[in-house]
Amino acid sequence: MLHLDPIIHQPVRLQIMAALTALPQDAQMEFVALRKMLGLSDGNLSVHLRKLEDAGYVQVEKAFVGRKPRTFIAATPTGRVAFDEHVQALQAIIQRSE
Amino acid sequence: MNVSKNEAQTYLQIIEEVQCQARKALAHGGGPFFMMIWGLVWFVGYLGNQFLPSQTAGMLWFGAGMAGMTASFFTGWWISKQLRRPGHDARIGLFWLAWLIYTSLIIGISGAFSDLTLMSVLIAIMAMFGYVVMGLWLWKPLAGVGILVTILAVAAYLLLPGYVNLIMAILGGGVLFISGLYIYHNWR
Repeated sequence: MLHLDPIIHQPVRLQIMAALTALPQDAQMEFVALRKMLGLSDGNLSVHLRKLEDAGYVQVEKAFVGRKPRTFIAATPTGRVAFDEHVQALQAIIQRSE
Repeated sequence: MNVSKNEAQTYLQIIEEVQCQARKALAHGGGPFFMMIWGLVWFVGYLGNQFLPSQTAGMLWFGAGMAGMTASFFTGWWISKQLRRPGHDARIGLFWLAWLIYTSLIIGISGAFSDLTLMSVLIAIMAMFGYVVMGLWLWKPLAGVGILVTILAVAAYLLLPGYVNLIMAILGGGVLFISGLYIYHNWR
């Protein structure tokens, strides 16, 4: 039985997961690039990333690019599965009401 | 959790839009940009081969090649600031270094330096070999474009050797540039 995931269902987290799962499995998106893409503030993105990280849906990694510290984010395999199931649950709702 | 049909449709639409935006913003790891850059380089270089004396054409190739490498370097740098693929990044650089060494060896040993047409086609084929490898490794459309341009290069060399440079400028460079532009604007 497909179910909507309450962690992913929140609109900002839904967009974060959508953006990260659009990338290849081994790819990580930089924090600022993700923030700009979704039009969020630093704080807002951080809060939602923390929730997704606590659920094991994203992995946050800090690294140096040249001399600058940067944060890279990727969807974990668990996160990808959860997101796929969430999308399937949304599609099932549409199909059931047709 | 109660979600109506309309809400579900709205959420799915948001997901599709964000995913499309993500792929486009990062332009598939820069693939379409590299195709457009090298499409222009080929167009200028091969057109020079066809219509200019060989020394001038060689200088034009050198200038266009340097411009292409500089543009590719900055594109790669810009993409790497936003997207990271651990394990791939270093190997991509090493692959192109190996490619450069092997291409130089093949062209040097085959004596293609004395035959501008043969050298042009060999470089085109080797470049597309690089695209096919990158495509299989990172992003499949690149492999498709590589195979298509290789077929064009071989066909032009075998069937119309006198016009091979003109064909490579228009079809080779053109296919690369237009494919890059099309993929950038329309790929979802």
